[in-house]
Amino acid sequence: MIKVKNLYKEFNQEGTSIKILKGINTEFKKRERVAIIGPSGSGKSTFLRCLNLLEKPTSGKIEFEGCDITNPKCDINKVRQNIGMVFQHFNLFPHLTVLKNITLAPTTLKLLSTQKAEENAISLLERVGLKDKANFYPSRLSGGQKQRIAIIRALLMNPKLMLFDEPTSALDPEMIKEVVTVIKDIAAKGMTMILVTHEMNFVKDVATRVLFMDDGKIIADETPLELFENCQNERINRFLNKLK
Amino acid sequence: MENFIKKLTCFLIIISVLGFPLRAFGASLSDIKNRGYFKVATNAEFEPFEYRDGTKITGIDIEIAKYIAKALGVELKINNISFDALTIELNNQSCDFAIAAMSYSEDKSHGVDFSAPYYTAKQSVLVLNSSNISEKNDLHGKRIGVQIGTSGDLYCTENYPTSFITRYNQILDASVDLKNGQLDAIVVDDLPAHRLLFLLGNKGKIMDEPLFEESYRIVVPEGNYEILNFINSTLNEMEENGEIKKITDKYMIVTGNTDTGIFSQIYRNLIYKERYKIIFQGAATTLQITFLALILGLLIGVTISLIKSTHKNTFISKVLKFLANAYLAIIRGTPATVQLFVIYYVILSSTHLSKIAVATIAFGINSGAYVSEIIRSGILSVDPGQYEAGRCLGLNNKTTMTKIILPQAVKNVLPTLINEFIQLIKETSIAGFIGVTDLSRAGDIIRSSTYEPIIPLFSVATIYLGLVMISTWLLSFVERRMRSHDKS
Ligand SMILES: Nc1ncnc2c1ncn2[C@@H]1O[C@H](COP(=O)(O)OP(=O)(O)OP(=O)(O)O)[C@@H](O)[C@H]1O
Ligand SMILES: [Mg+2]
Repeated sequence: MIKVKNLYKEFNQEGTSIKILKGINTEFKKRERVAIIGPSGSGKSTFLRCLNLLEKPTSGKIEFEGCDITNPKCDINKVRQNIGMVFQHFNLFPHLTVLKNITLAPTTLKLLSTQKAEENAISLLERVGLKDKANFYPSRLSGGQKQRIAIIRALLMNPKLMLFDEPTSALDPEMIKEVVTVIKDIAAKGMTMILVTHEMNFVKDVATRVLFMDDGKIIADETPLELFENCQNERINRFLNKLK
Repeated sequence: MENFIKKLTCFLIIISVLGFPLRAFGASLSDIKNRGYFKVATNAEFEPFEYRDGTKITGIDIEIAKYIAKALGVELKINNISFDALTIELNNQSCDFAIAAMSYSEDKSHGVDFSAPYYTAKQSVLVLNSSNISEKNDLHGKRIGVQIGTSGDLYCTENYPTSFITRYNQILDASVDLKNGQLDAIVVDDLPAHRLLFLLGNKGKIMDEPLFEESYRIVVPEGNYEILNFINSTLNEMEENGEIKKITDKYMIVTGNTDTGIFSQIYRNLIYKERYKIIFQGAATTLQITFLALILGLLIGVTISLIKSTHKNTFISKVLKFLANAYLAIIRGTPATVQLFVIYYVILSSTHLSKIAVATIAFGINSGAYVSEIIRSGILSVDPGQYEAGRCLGLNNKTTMTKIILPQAVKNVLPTLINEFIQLIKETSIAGFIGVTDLSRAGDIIRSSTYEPIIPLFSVATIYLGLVMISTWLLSFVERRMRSHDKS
């Protein structure tokens, strides 16, 4: 579904350029659920954000369904309609009600009629147990509730791929579970997803594959079982042990 | 930066070349007959020659102008503007002639022609009784008050280089300064001098010998000899049939009121000749200009702030950003008065928009620059994650900005915006410079005919205060409503 070839990314900071991604090659297949783990600052978020061009790669190719999204001729808005993204800090729109948050994009883009969008939104809200919050403004919701709304907002676009950037890191422990449950539910329905996370249980339960990133490179690409049970790389083991 | 200034200069030159109207030839007599009226410009703040009486403009000059119009068999349309603006109006051919107690001077003669004289005016010197000024030479090194741009102003500037000359928009204000010891003498036409003397009571006196004499002439656009000849022959006729003397005698009466009680002042300044109507109409005009300029300013401000905040980097967006920066630099780097004049006399001079429309456009353009910076700071205050979230949902740059960023930005800066609008109410008070009778101008008009400053000034101030307070209250009500949204 999405192929990454020789991806490099540099940031210019105060005149000097710092290399963040140093040649990434990988492929994500349909129905795969890939977890990306690794130490802080290793470039996980940057990599994820390159996949929908929130960050512009310095060089390299990213093909989404056979079309190179780094090519300026590619209509990035169309591509993004097919790639949902969930952020660490939810990024709900505070000036809109929950229902408007969810239906804004599909109705503005005329993908769904207002009525149809609202019907679908309500049934999704029901699925995550937040139907009664439809007319609330985000400021009145808890973190866990906000993240569940953010996930639904991405889902209503009916994406082919979902990107999650540490969706539970900003949550209190008691709220993590409700969000994890929702993500597992989506996973069970066959959604292709790439998620950056520090939640190891989450990785074990959800991921079909794990990428370990260190210093802008993928240094391991294995199933969760292989990685957790018999990994030989000392660097990775030290990282995993620290988490335990 | 230097580069930017170069680009800016280029831009300014292009704008002014595009904006300058082509020089038109003046109207011929048959043109005027066809259109059915003479366009005359005046500055109705010089009683008894031209002034407001109630809501209409009258005076010696106006009656002479009417006579001239009647001689051609057409109507008279009076355009009341500031004295300084008269020459510009003539240069632009925006009027057929100007009559405003003007006398010939080298400075003013550029681009205009003067008619034969129709009145000889004495310039008198008004001093306090206690003054030791008794002849022309005593004025050297003294503090002299004059009305700005008048021949008294020019004469004193030229002949008394060592004196301190204060130039007033209204000579009435000079008499207050004379009384308070801020001035040593006032140089003004004989009749106003006598009216001021009346106000000063037994405290003042007029120097026996006039400072100089001058002849008032009608002014026409340069080279329009057909009109000039017609005016000259009509003036000659009026001289011979005694019409001029009849008119001047009618107006040359020194009047004044000895009853200075507050109620009789209120009566004279607000009720007599329905003068309160001038104030109310002025207030309505001020409100109208402010309200429409506010809407225009918001439209411009939002557009400019969006252009400046765009994340795009295409050629078009670069050009737009450059134009937006030039606009901001020009508007914020020049005084509003100058902008008003440039827009009225240069950019929009060839259009036939009303003065109120021009003032509205000028204030809208001015306010737009400040509104755009306010909104831009609001946009910057919105979490970048909001923009990313919008784009991630497949919304394009424009939709994300207008549907997600802008509503939050505006809400963040609402108090600052409200403040800008309240400023605008007060800023529109310079509209009078191009002859719009706004609230401030209304007060000036009454003041210049009653020679009593207190009531007109206080009425105007009270209405401004009221307008500001009402709008503050209204807008903060709107703000509360918007804020309560967040919590419902
Ligand atoms: N816009 C930017 N400009 C400059 N440097 C950046 C920018 N975005 C990220 N970086 C730098 O790139 C490096 C990698 O950042 P990234 O967010 O991808 O790391 P990460 O692996 O997601 O870390 P974490 O686990 O802490 O989220 C960091 O050192 C960060 O400071
Ligand atoms: Mg990160």
